[in-house]
Amino acid sequence: MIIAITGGKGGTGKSTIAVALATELAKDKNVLLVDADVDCPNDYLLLSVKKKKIKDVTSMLPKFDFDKCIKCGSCANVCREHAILFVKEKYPILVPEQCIGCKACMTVCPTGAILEEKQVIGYIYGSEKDNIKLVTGELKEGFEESSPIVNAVKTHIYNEKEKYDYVIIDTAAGTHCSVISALRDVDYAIAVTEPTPLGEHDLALILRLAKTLGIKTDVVINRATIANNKNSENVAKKFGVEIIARVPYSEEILRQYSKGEPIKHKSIETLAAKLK
Amino acid sequence: MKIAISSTGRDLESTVDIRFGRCPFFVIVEIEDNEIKSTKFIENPAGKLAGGAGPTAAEAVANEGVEKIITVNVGPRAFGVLQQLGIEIYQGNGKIKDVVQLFIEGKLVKISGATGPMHLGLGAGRRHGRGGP
Repeated sequence: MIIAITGGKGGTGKSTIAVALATELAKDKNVLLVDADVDCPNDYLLLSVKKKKIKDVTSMLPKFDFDKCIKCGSCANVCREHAILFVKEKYPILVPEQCIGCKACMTVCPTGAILEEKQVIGYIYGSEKDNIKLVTGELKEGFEESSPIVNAVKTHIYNEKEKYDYVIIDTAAGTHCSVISALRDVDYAIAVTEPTPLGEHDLALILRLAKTLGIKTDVVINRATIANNKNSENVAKKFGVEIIARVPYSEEILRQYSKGEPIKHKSIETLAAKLK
Repeated sequence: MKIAISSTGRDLESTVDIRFGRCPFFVIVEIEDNEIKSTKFIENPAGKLAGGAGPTAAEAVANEGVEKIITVNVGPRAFGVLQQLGIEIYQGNGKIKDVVQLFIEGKLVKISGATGPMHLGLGAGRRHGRGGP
């Protein structure tokens, strides 16, 4: 079963819940935790493990053959990422960090002056703790597009996923490309929210996205005791989804969190039980 | 010789915009025999881009045929592109017309490296919260 932990708003506790849930499920099952928040992956910190590099993620990078280039500017014109710049009567200039490797420039070049090279755009790491295997994707510093790394991580786990009872994919915040890439093909999603106006607003966004993608989703309210849950409940009701767990704001949880331990709480046990 | 100055407005009384990539306008000044021969204002096509503003701004000023630019901060990518285009960068701040005068008098300092990190010109929010471009 592939479960995505998502939520829209940043800082609601997606990673905290993902790691806690993975730890709980791993008591008697094999769990693969995937950190798909590739801009700032930190599940390894919450699990207190080191991450070892498995491989680089590469992307196609154009290389100009200036003997063939006729300085027509077609490559720069077609590049939607502004990764190729063109100044009249000069050779095109490449900004590698903005290139997403789409090859549009190669396709339009009338003289075949663009050759194919590769550049590293991110990394995949592996870690292990008890019954949990953690795979982490990380976007290389300075690069713009995070979804190619998410897709590479998903390709990487594709052949292994059958070995696990649960694959938990921890997504980035927001509803942009990288989150969509992470959500694609999952069996089920959990939207982690908090009872604040921003949490409720973003919950509606992520539930709408999940609905669009046709993914069955339920809601976990984190820090549920800091305010009335009425608005979050109304959002859930509007989208016809269930609130399957409420994690309180408690000193006990904060103590575990501050020690770098996955949080243990009966609300997490209830959540895990519902998934079995 | 043509120079481009990152500007907050459309006239010589405006001040230099401290951001190169994300300034709203460029003043293109043509200088001949140490005097201003002509001035022109262009909108910076990169001002509101989600990403890659610096290089795109560099492309825009290069297409105006400028040889030098005056600004305050240049990010690493814009710097790399300006260098490849052979465009020199001078640092100047204040009213556009005063800065041009200082340039003519040779009193501005040429800079030889990026002056700040990427996305500095996006302000306090930087890219946080906006996800992908």
